[in-house]
Amino acid sequence: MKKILSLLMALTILLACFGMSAEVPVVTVNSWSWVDSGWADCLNAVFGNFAETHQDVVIDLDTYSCAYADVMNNLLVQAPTQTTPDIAMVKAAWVPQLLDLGVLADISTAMPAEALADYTEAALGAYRVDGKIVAVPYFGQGYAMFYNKDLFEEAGITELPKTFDEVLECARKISALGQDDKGNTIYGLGLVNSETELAEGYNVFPWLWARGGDFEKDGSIVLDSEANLQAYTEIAALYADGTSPKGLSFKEMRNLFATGCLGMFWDLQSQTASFKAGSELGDAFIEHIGAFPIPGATKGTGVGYNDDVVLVMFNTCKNLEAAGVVLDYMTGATTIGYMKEYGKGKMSSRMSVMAQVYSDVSDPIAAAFVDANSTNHALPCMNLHFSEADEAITRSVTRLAQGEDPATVLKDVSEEITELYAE
Amino acid sequence: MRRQAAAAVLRTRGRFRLTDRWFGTFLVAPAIIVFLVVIAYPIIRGIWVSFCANKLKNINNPIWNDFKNYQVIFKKGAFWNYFGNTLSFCFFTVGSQLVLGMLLALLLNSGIKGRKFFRGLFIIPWTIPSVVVAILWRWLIQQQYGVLNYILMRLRVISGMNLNWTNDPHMAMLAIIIACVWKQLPYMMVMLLAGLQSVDRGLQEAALIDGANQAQSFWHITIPAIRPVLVTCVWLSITQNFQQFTIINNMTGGGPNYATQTLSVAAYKEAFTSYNFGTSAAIGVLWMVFLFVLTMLSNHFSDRFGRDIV
Repeated sequence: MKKILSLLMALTILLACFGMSAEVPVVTVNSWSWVDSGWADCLNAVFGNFAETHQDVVIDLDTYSCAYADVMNNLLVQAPTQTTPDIAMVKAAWVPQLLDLGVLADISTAMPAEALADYTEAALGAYRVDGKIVAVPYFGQGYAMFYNKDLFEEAGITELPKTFDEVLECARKISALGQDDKGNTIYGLGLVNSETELAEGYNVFPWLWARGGDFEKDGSIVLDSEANLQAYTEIAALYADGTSPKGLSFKEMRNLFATGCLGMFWDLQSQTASFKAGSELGDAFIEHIGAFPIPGATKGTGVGYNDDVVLVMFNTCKNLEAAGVVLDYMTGATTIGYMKEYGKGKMSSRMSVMAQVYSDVSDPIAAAFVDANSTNHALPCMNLHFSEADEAITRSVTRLAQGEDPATVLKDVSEEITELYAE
Repeated sequence: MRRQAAAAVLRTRGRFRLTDRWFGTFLVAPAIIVFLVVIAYPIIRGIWVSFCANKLKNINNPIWNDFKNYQVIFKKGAFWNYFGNTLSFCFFTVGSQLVLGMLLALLLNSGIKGRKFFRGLFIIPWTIPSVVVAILWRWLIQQQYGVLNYILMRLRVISGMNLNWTNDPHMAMLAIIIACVWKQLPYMMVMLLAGLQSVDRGLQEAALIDGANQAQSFWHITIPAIRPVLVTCVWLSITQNFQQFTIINNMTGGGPNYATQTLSVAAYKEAFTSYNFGTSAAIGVLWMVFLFVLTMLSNHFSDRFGRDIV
């Protein structure tokens, strides 16, 4: 009897070690944001909280050690070898390439229906392909106009511009200040065109929209238009009269703004950290700047844009239910709340999340970006060749900065992109 | 008996030679395998892919399309721009390195005080990674707050902080040449210094005694004596600069508007922005053929100069 009992106990212990307990599903998630050290604390909080509050699902987090621009190449290498993660954080502009490879799974099979219903059709519609939802918005990176309060005061500008014409007027007034007391040139409005960073091309879209033009309509490239020509002519003039510095990248423009020599430029809310780091005043620099939505042609309209970051699920994902829990959490109020707490300025496309997290915004800069979010345009990035188009537009802006005829430049870039999109 | 003994020795010798050959093969095999896997296979596959349609969708299954990739490259016309940029970049970079390297080598060979210290100091740029060099120089040439513009302004070469290095095609090319020369000059200097130190002083003294001045002695004695080193350095520098990617891509990205886009940057963008691996491989093959021809010429001249000296 004793022997039988001992045997049964040993068997029980053995089975407990090797599988009597239920296996906790693991979901692999890729995130690139650790590269930017300012995000480490925020994302540690996000995923730390998930671990504490979700005992039934484990996230195996993989953070890329390479530059964010190489994240896409890593995924493209992983895709054909079926070594992709379950969920990845990607820019919306990268979705077409992944879709073309046929590696994206239908998120509606994993994410809870009530979470999907929390999105507006406008937000989710862009990612609905052949009835499948191939990506869900993670957070929107909205662009709004930063301005230097001291330069505004010095130039005698007492009210924030309400239209794009007023923006240009203010820019020229600031530029007319000439130099600061250290002999540094003061610029009114900054427009990037270094050709060394992504996203420099579509950074001019607000200008096109402000003049009534556009990049794409109903699948056709509509760059070569009178409205866009007006925008290109104004951009050329901006460079020619020294209102904008030439050849600067986003990083360099942020540094210039932090030195107090730039009146206005549009950027992401999260870059306030860069301004503080680059300014002699340190954290105190934030008191000298403000933000407002990029105004359109008329009062009350906005022409900023949201550079969406989305979550995609790969078809190698086996634990759909667990993946759905992770997707819901990552797009939910807790995550967006942490991002707000850590000053990342990321907005959500989920209605309940925005209502919960941004119901009370005391910080004026954050409030400006929340305002901008309601009028910002979505980027027309769901085309395989959008990245190449972005580069082509950047080169066209460089040509404007070099003094070439705007009409010729616009015609050339329109033809180039039309040919690209026809491939 | 003797014949049997001799035959036994021969048989033994034959077995001994066979074992030697196999042993030698086994010793060389790892190197051959590495060469085949890391060098030969990628080259052969690259050449094959250059004749295929190879995009994201069929990344693992390139489809043969004859010379279509080459036709596309030449039809666009931009290839000649990239080739021209590469040649002019190489010419000015190698030329500058040669002249400056020679001057520094002569200076260090002249027995000045602190020679060892300066030699160590001049080596430093060579130890810095290329991407750091690119970022460093991009900040140095920054128009609004770069040190270079500040120095030029203080020297009254420019009237204010208004010299734009990256937006002007010629200035952008000059900027990347300066950065590459700064990075690679120590190598040229070290090689030429080694060559100068091997020159027979007796010949130089004899030339001076015969009435030759310093310039004539340098041109007719020193240069011929270090010609093999010169040729080797120059051709190595040419092949290295032909492949230069890191500094160019990180400083200017091939801009402004393709003004500094060389073959290496073009191949990279074709592959990783346009995801057109076939066309990218075609650019690589054309570039490889050109370098192959250059290398053959280099070997021919090296042999010829070697025979001249002997």
